[in-house]
Amino acid sequence: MIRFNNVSFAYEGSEELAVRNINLHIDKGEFVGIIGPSGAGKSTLVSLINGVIPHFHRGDYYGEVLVCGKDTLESTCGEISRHVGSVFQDPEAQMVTTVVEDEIAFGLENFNVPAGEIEKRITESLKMVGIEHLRHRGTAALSGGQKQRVTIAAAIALRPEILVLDEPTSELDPQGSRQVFQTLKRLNQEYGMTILIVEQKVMLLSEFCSRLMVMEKGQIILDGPVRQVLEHHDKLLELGINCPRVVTLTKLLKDASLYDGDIPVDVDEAEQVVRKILEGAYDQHTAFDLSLR
Amino acid sequence: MKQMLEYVHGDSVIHRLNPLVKLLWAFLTCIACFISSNHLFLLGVLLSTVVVAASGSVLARAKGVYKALFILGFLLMLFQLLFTPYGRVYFYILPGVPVTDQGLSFSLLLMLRMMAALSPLSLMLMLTPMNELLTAMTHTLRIPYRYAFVVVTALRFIPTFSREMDQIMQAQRSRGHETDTRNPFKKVKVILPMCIPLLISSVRRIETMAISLETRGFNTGPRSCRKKLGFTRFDALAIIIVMAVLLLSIIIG
Repeated sequence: MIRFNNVSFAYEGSEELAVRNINLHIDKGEFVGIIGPSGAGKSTLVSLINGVIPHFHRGDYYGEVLVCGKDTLESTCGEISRHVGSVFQDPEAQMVTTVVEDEIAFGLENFNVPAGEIEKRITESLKMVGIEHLRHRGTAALSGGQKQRVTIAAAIALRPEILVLDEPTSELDPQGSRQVFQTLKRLNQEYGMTILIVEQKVMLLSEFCSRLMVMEKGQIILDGPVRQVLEHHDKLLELGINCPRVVTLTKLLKDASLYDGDIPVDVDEAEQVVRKILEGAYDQHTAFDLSLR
Repeated sequence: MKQMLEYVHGDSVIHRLNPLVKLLWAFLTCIACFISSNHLFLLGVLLSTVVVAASGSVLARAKGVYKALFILGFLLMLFQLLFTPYGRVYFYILPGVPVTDQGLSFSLLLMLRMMAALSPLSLMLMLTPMNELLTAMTHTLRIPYRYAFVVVTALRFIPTFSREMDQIMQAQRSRGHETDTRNPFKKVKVILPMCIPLLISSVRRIETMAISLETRGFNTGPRSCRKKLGFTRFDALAIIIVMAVLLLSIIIG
């Protein structure tokens, strides 16, 4: 679906490479989270996929990026956007129109979709993100979470196979962020959409994503299933990424050699782990007691 | 400001009129107001705009427009009043500055004209969805999409910028910068430096917007449009009324 072959990029006027020697392969249906300190090249990576680089931002470009088998350098931003839907940080600024349904129709009209089909797609994409009731509302009066879901609906109305999101929840409250992630999960599971999300909230990433990539100084330093990446607790901490508390807890348990199984990613799993250990400890304790007798 | 140009969703007869008819109404009414110098005619036009606002159920919103136009018109009226020395003198407001009957009549006319000519423009924007306006401009008036888009987007950004300005003002105020002053010259002096952060953040927002346009297929080829604009007998009736008003303004003079 997405393939990077030795990709490096430096923005115009900058000596430093924003991303460096990236080799990457993302399959259809993956839900990938990208995390890392600011300036690590996360946004650049996303821009390389949706064609904003090299078609909007210019600079020194090396290697090749293939999206759905096509080199992004050889297609226009418009062509790429048929395959890749994009959602950015500031929902306010990326909205083009003032009414929710117009916002969703905008991309469709650009691609010359016939009127009847547009109506169908508006209804469909609003339903997919769960905001049918906002259809006729003005965009200015929506909450942050609602706005961001409108931008997601606008992106998926074009029926992209891939959805890339660059910190879509940075301006949202915890509840709004969760809503966005739940929406994405549904898109991923029910419609098989490939999703790539840059995000700072590690807890949400570890709960919802299937694969996690950690970037530092323009490179992907960790990449794999969420549990596997979270094993590198120390490295993450070094990068200033606060691991979910359950991971920190497991790490402590492991250091004390009380536990050596998989890392739990949510509170329920962690509870079970702790319960098991406590039961075990109790058994050992009683066994110890008995042996004394 | 932001409320004067923002569309208010509704389903009234006015809302359902063809956007071009509303555009025509706004422009011809404006022209008629400049043709006529009859107080009663202008007052009539002004009242008719109130009727339009009421039937589009945006009267509450429109009140702000009328108020703003009134203040502006009132200032204009004062100037006009003080600088019209001919006619029958009522009294002297300052030594050598008379208030005359002609001055009063003319300044009143100016204020009425101002209010009657400009309120339809604002009402038109309140009662017409942007996308319909855009469709009307591109498909019927044959304005290239790019240019029509620029106009519509400029209008769309007004509430965004005004919110941004509020934020900047508040930030400055919270750091002890005095922003509340009744002196208009001081006010300008206070606000001017704040335009720089506004400008910077606007440029940034506009870049995001440009990227958003790029990634949603802006200007990639022929465009379809969602709504077919109809032409009903209400539209015909509205045009007849507007034309009649224009004619009346010419006849009355």
